[in-house]
Amino acid sequence: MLSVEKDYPIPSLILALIQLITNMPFDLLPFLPISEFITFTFYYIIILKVLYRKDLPRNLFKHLTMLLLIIYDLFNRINAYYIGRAALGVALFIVSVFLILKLTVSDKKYPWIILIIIIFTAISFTYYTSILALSSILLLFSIAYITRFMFLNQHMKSVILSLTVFSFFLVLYQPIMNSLVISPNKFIDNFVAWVLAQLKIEKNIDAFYLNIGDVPIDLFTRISVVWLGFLLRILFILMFVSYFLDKLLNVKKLDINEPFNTLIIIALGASLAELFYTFQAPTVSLRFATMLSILYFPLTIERIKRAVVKIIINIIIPVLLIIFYVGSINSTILYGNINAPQNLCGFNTFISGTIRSCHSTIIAGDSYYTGYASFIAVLNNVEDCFHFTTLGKYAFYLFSSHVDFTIITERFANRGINYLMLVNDGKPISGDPWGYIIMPSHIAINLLLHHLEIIYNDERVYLLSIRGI
Amino acid sequence: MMLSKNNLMLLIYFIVAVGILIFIPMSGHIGPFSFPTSVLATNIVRRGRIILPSRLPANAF
Repeated sequence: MLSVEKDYPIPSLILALIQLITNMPFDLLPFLPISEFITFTFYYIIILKVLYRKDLPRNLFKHLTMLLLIIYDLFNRINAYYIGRAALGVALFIVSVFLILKLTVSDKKYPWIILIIIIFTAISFTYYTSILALSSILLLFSIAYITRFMFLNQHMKSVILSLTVFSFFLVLYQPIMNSLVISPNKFIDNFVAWVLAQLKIEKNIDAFYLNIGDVPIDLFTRISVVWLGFLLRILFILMFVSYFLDKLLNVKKLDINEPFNTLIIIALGASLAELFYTFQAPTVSLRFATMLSILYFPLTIERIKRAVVKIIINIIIPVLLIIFYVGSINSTILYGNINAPQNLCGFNTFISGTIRSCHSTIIAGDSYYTGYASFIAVLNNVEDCFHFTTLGKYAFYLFSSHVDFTIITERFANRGINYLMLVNDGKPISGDPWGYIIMPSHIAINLLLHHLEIIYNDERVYLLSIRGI
Repeated sequence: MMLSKNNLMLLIYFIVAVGILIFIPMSGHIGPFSFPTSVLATNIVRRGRIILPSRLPANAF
């Protein structure tokens, strides 16, 4: 998990720079929502200064709807908005979207070009998906120009083509290129598995463990978060697709001086780039599609002719979004991965002071808590003694109603895992940052505490030895 | 400079929205991806170069 940080060091360098300038305590570093702040600010600037600058002040309702949509998008992915590769990559991507929009409406000869090159280079050492998205966007711009779907002036043509070539070099430089497999069959298999898991038709497949998990939720959360979240996302994407098809079929030419038209190419290119995930795993990422299509929603409302429908939508969408926020906050408190670091206070003291002489101790546990414990081990200079790892899909075997000790013995011990860290906080256990979420059953916890030797216990955190099985 | 009523509303809305966005995560909703970055940042500050722990944590399965 850490080796990839070395290939993409920009987020760590920025964080190190902030620490050197502010001299803040090291243990605060993981808690800075820098990426979130950058994303929100640039979303806001794009909305305010680029897309809606003329009619904004006259219609507060529309502005409210737009900002609620932005907050919806940020809230939807709030747990990934601290400084980290993905979070900063997406934040820099939004900055690039702003720069490309400015670039296409500028009268200057080579506007923003140096800044764009710097940002592109920074992104290529931050997050693979973001640089691939930018490369796809520029390729689409070039294709749109070559097929005469879009007119570019001479200066802009050379800027776009140069940036396309530059971004392709940055993509080819990516370490992940070696492992990228482009297989249509694998794509279809992964896509079908994802659909079957989403519809809960197949429950014993990796796609279900990865995408859905096993956390029973109440009816309010199901309606306000799960169903409403899907409904809103589908609505945003439909609005984007309808706007694009309208331009493609009726206008047949994109006016690049209209920022909304430029945004079509940006949204389409970024969405295509994210499909590469589906070649690798049974998942379909809709992040960029949702992020960028929400910008079309108020525009489409604007184009609806019937005043009654317009007023209804202007009222209904903010109300639906507010229900979604209330549901999201409620579900975050009830089920979310709110890991209170103070739960690990005693445990941190234990590993940093009690048994310094141990070697090669590998502890498996919840991905959030082991992530934090791993960071604390580095702060306390005991990272050579203690190594932390996640449970992956084996969280389901460990914490379901039917604990399978055979799997624990075979899989864990074979990988040198000596201990299991169990935080009994009543929250779901996350086997991996990507998914594998399960609410541990009381039977499973009691069985584990009964069968395994307890090395450490402060009534919140248990450290259990696996060797004694 | 006097702000118009609409612009004042927008400013208040922006401040409240940013406040909510920052307050909610700061109250305990930690992103797992920020820990590896923080580990590397700590090592950069302490040792002056990009260096990982001498032995990496075990990978997930």
